[in-house]
Amino acid sequence: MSAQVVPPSRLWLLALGYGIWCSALAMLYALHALGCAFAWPAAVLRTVLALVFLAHLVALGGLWRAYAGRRADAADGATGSFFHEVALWTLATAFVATVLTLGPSLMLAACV
Amino acid sequence: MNAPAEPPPPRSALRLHRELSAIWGSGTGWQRLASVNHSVIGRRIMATAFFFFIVAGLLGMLTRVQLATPKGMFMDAGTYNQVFTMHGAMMLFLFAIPMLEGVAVYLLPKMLGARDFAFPRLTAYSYWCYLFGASILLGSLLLGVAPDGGWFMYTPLSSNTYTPGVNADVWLLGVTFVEISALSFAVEIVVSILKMRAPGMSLERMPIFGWYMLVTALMMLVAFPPLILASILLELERAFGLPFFDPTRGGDALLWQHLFWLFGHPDVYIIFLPMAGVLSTLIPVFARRELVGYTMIVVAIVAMAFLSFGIWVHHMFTVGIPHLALAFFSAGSAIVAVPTAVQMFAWLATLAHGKPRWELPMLYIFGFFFVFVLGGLTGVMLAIVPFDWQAHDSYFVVAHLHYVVAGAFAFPLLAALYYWLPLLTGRSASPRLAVPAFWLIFVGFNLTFFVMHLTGLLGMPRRIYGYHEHDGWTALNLLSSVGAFVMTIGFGLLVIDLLVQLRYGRRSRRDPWRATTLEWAMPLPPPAYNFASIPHIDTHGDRMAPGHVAPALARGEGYLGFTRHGWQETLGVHMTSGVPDQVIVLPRPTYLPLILALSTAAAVLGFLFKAYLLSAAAAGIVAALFVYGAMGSGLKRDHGPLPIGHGLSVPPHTEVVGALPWWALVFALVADATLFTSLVFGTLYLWIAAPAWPASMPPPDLGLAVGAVVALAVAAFAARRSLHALRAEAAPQRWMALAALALFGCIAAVLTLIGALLPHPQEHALGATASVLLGYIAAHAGIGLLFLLSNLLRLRGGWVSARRCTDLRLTRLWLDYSAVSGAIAIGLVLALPSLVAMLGARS
Amino acid sequence: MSLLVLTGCSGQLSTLDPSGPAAASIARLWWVMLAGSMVLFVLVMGLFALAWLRPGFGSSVPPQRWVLLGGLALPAVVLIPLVGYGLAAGERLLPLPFMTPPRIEVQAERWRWTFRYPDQGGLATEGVLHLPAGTPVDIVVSSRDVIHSLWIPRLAGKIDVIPGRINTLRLQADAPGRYQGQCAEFCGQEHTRMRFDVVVHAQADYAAALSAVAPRPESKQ
Repeated sequence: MSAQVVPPSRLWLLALGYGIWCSALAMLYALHALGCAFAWPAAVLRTVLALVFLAHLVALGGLWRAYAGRRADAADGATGSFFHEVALWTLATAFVATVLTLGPSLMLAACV
Repeated sequence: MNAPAEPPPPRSALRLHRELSAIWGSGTGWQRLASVNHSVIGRRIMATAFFFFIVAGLLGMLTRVQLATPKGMFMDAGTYNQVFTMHGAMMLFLFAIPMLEGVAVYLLPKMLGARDFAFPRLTAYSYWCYLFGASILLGSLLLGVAPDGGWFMYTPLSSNTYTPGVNADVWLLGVTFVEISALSFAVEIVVSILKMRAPGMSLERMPIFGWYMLVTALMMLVAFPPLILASILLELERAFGLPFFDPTRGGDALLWQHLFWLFGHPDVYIIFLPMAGVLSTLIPVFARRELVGYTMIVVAIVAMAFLSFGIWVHHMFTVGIPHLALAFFSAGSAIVAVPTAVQMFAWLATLAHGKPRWELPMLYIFGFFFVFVLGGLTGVMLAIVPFDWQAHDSYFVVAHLHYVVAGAFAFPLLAALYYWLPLLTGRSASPRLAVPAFWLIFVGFNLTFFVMHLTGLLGMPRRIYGYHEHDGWTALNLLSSVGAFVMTIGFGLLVIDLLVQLRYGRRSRRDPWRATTLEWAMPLPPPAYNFASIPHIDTHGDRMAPGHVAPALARGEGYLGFTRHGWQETLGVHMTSGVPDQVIVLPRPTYLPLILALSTAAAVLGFLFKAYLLSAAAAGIVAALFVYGAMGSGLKRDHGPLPIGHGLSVPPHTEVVGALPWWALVFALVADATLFTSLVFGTLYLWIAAPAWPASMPPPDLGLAVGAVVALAVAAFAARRSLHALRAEAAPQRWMALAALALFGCIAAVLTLIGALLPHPQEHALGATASVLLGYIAAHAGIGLLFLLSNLLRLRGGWVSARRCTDLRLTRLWLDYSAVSGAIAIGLVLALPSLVAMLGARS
Repeated sequence: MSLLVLTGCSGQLSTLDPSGPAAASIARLWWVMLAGSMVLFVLVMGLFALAWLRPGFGSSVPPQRWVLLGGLALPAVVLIPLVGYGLAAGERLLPLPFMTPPRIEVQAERWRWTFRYPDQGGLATEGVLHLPAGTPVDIVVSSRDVIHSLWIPRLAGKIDVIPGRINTLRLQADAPGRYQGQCAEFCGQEHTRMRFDVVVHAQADYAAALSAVAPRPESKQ
């Protein structure tokens, strides 16, 4: 069996990537609703949305780089490397999902 | 006083079986009502769900009879509206969700190497709640007062003004009753999967079905609360006039839709994922090759779970939300096809790289592929906004939804039924009736629903009870109705086949499918205790050789291959590594869950018939029974580490830090927090979107508000100190008294605040939402008092000690949560006047 | 070929027999998606059948590649263009503010439709909507009671009619004629009967035709 036991808190890792996607969706949808309700100028609204969008991409990208760099500890054994692989894939696919689901929309008419 | 030094020597398999059966058995006759065994309850759930499937299916047939001809006179409008509403509601709430829970309850302990589920009395209680809630709905149908506003009950149609009768209340109360039962199952499933596996089954060795159910159950914890909140709010509006959805009083009709679909969309993935788990389990067996892409599938499941929560607005593309926002949900709805495709191609790859063999369940797996791919394709079409603008609320959607539900749920379920029939009944199925039944169902289904795509595109909207000859839908509707009859005959044949197999079927041999998972390593049908001794797992849970393992386990060569003090014992493990860390001693059969469920049903019925005092009294009885039920839980003295076999000793569950009730409360709080977040969202949504909000709001009393938060903080602090005292072997009662006092103070402050709210909660949604936020705090403080009461009684009874301190840890967790959520709620209520002023500032 | 298809697809309420640019755009989208779906369906079921009937089929492709090609690459190639096109098509159907076509106000209530023509002197009709041909019109909808939905399938997609809220649907009819519209959101007992007629007049005749059928507005609210 592995020398070191993977702590249960590591389970959060599996939720991290898509958790960030959820945060991006929620924040963009809410900010858009606020912006349209309070009649922000379209350029302002779009800039705010773009900044929030990019911030989430940076978070996802940064986390992926950090985890990809750190190779799975041999001491963690099969469980640890399983978690590591799932974490990497969820971060990467969540990054792509964020780009594809939230990016193109920002080019559409602001509040119609 | 001391635990035995060594476990007793191994006995013969027969002797062990007799001893374990005596301990784990459920009794006969009326005693079966007291059963808390997961196999008994799992079968009950599945049988009850199947019954409601038949009822709901017959209701669907009635609609097809009505629509077979243009001016169908079979039912009048009022009856028809009840029939189609109940068809949808019963299928989704009383069949699909309970059935998958029944499968999980029955199968998971066996597949994961445990003897039962984490909270047997809760399993029983949840079943009875489901049964009684479902009976309320069925009863309303028989009495002609069934819900008639569509299965998703849009407001304002479902409000008092337009549905004055009790119909909508039946839906709201009955469905909430059933959903709370579903939530408790979900909590139990999560805890059991994480903590109750065979030693050595680390998470990456867990059978893939375990991952599917774990993620599904976690989804349920987050998906059901928005619906429960929406139902509570609508019932408050109907019963007490608090206007959440009434646009003339500051509410908004769309709030219901957002809350409903926040539940409703993940709901369909909750229905799909366990069946995908079934497919991931069956296909490798019939392909005679291990599943391709275990890790990728886990990633896909996680992706699907999250993505499914971010696409609910695709049910609302026509309500007038700006296109930019719709685009988020359109793209998301398309992208959710990706993790689905990953799984489909993993299954295809498994078949391609294996040596497929034809067996009866494979027929239904073929049916799944055919039907689900079509459903998925039309789903992607509906994800495209302009197309949805035409197809929404037409028969195209009816076609799509039946394709995905039948494809994703019904066909895999029938495959599962035939696959696990030997386990359930000890008999194997013969193809004689089963094959014709399949083809009738398959052909009938496709005939019924395929033409509906065209019917919808030709303009037929949903939920109409008749149409005109010149609409051009006559031939298509007739075809659909004929198809429905064919499908019904097929199902009839299926039911007959099952009954015949149950009675006269050939006895199955031990490992009929040469399967690779643990549930086959036991006699068919299984004994009440599943495993005479628990295996040690050193390979993947999907690559077991159950036939080889079974005899050794029966002889007691695994863990816990003996009985001790007449306890019902199973093992708890470390969440990720599968190292055993506790012996779990489970409760014996008891009538308490049944009595509790009856009291809960009385509370619900009292509310339904507007006998509010009776309802409150029944609720009080429920609370008292919960406290009473906790009295006998656990062990009356410290035991220290107990031997479990193979040279290992672990403490009983009462003496560990990561005890199961702790984790159950953690996950229950996840659901609670989701409900709270939905409430905060609802308040902010109304603030932003609802018409006719006032220009200003008198601020609530700051002193009282801050006082309530302080009181909660004091209570949480006192709970901490009480735990500290207990662990230091001092008396914790004084701290507990302080906590109780603080909670009383909080409740008093909050109730005063509610009483002084302006605008009055019955006059405007602003007051109504503030009152619900405050009411939430009071409810949590009240439940905190119940926790403290239970703690006190159990301390007196000797069930709590410095080592057995889970009770106080639970109270501490609850009060911590109450303090944090209370602070947020008070903060929002205090912020409302400024938010309202901001509204006044815009045009 | 298209004629054959059309006769099977024609009908007063048929989305596949479009008579306006919005409905035509959506119908085009539908035919493309139908064709694509048929290809994908045959592909997946074909793979399933071959895996069954030809043992060893596909075993030369490594398992991981099955998943990556079918699960990631194929959806990407299909979905990205599709969603992109869908968003662009949707944008063109919006009532964008750069244009201010004539408005028609619609009041929905259980179970009838009332149409007001503010640009034609405040006339009103019940149960019949009069439109000018060949020019866009903004249909502005609101409800007096529950949620309804205004749907004229041959002209455009539907728009929900929600109490407390005002929604706008921009539509245009190509040519004069009679069409049908219906309520497309369940609104209670007689939802089934909540239909209305649509009469499209040549643009030149529109004002005259409208005053001929609509009563003079008194001091109505």
